[in-house]
Amino acid sequence: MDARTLFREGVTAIRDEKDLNRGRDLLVQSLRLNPQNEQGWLWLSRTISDPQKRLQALERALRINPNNTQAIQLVERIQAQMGSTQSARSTVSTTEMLATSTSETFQDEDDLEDAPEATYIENKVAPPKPRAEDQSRIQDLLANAEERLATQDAEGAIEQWVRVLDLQVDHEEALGKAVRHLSRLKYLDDARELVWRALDANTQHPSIYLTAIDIARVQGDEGISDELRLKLAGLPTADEKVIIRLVEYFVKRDRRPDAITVFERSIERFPKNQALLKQYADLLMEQARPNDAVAIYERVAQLGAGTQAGKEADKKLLALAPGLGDKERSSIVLAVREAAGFGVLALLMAWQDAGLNLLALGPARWFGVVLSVLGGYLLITATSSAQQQPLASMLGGVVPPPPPAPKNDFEAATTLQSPATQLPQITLPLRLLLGAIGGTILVISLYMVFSTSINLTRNPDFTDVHIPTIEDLLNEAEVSP
Amino acid sequence: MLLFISFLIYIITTLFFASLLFPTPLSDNGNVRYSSLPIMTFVLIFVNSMVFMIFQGFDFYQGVNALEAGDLSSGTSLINNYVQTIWMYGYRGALLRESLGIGAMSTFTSMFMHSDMWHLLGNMIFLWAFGRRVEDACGSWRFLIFYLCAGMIANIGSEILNPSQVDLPGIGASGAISGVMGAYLILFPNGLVTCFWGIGIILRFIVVAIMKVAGVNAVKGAPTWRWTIQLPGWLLLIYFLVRDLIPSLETIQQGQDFGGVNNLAHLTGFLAAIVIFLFARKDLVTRYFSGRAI
Repeated sequence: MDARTLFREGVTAIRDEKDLNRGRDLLVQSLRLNPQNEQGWLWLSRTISDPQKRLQALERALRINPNNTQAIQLVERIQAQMGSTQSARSTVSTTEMLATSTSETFQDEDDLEDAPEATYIENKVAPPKPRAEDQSRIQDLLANAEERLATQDAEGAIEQWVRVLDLQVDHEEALGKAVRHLSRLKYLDDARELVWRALDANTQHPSIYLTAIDIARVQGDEGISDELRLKLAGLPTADEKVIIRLVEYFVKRDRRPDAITVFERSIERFPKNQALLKQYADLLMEQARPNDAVAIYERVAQLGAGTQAGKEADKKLLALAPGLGDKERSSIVLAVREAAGFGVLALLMAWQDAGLNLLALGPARWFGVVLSVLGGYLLITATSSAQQQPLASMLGGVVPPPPPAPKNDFEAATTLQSPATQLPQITLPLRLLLGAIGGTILVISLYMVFSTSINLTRNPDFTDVHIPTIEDLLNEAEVSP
Repeated sequence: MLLFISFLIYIITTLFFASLLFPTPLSDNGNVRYSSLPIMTFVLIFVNSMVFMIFQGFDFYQGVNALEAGDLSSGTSLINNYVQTIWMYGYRGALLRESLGIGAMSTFTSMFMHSDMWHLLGNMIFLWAFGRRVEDACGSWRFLIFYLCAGMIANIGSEILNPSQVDLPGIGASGAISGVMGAYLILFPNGLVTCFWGIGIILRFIVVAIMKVAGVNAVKGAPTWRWTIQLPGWLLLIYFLVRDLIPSLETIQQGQDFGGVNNLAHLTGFLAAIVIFLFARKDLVTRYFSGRAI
């Protein structure tokens, strides 16, 4: 069933049959096929009871059409309802609220995550910085925590750090230490809760993401840890080292598409990092995306061909030199264009041979110019344009054998393959004949356009030519002002 | 060996001082896509050098040496040979119009002749700097034909646009090379060219040193001193174009020709670059006109 039919049936199930579960299932399937269905998201929101989940669906509708008044009204209504329960997070924006932690996802959300862009929500708002009076309070609490730690009172120290986190949910030092000590005390769930609170508040600290990833991994939740890795890649504060670490993780597990996703989300933040760009291009090559890889290799080489990465990129580009496509191979216009080059050469020669007087060219030279185009065309047809259509077909051309197959999978994935052509090519004997005729005509034409000068070259006439001596030139130099 | 090293030092020093005020392009930084060996550029450099050394340089430098040694008769004789070669095989409108000498064949001979070693060296540096990539874009044989066409257009332009009746021979590859430079500008407007440029190198050194002292991250890892500087190709070429344009317009307007640099030939050679599309590779042409990178 296509997306439209699924959507229609979903709406019917909700509106006429009052079967919300079936309606939701159908809409989820429809949205998977077409996530740009604004009405689909609106209808889906009606089937969900959880306010945060409803907001998520409405946010998707608003992303497609920010002026959807129905969606705006519904969002306002839900926010008003949530107002009392969310008072502790009053500073957090709607967008942030929508970016719920993965641990809070529901069954429907898991389905929706399959749809493109379902999980990657950009432009999040970072948690607010603590107020000035809170800053000194935080310092006091941290000092208290250290004092308690010094007296072996780890739980007391943790209590102080948690209080810091109440003031600043993603305080790196407090969170890091609290998590470390909670983990030592085997309170991993509590550690997780602290970290997830920071994630929910859209922390911009990569270290907190890395901690969350570790916790998820230790708890055997690989799915969440991988999702966090991909989110971390999109974090504006994630530096090159983090990106390299993420890429290496996915490559080590032979999950190159995910490694490419890491690059896609982060590479524009490092537009001049040759090594990173080169690694990205290499991955694209391995994923048999040579054309995308070429664009990245170009960027690497443009940044400087003198570095190791630059040299390697340059080498790759050489190997990936673009070949002729059928469009160019079959074009008569492009072949005639080249022949016109011979015409220009002949015309320039004729012009000078006629004493720089175009009107004095005479029929022979003009004919020579025309012949040069003809000779050039035949020569080009024989050499670089043997697949012109319909000429090649008319001359009994045959389809050339395909280029040799790659020797192995690696070569297949790493070499830009010239597409096999189905265009007939003029046979070799005929090409040799055309080349010989074209070459002969060209020589004749060049003789015709340059006959006077060729004759003069054979027998130079310097009898009436003024050729000064060095003394003449010196005398002239003295006379001239 | 000592002589050779002295000669190299002499060339580098002279080039440095010659490039103090104005940049001398050494090589472009772009990638070659089709062939890493610019055969025709090498051949042209070789032929130009050989023609000068065999037919001109020997007479000229031997003559100068003889004159300096006080041997007036053989010195004058050698210099006269040198002058005669230029006047016989240089590009002279008077001979073309009257079908005298070797006629229009001088359009080819003049393209490979140079007045002295610096004339040759200067032209060959420019040919190397810009020819390598243009040749890659055309293929060797098409590049040769383009080079000859550009040279002929430069010769014709310098004759028919110059109202002066003064009969002076034109020699040098600069007209053809101007065409190559124009083609480079058309095909690779964003190319970066490594240049030898005294002022630029010194300014760069000062700026980088200050930035390093100030701890600016952008220059972290960059060498403080470099013997070369990279300039955008378009900037460099527009500079050369403008440099030729003003004296060329003066020549056209005033009809005066006192010899020296033939700016008009440079200008018309530069404009000849437009025919590059008749010689560029087919796939490159389609990519160029469809707005894709070449």
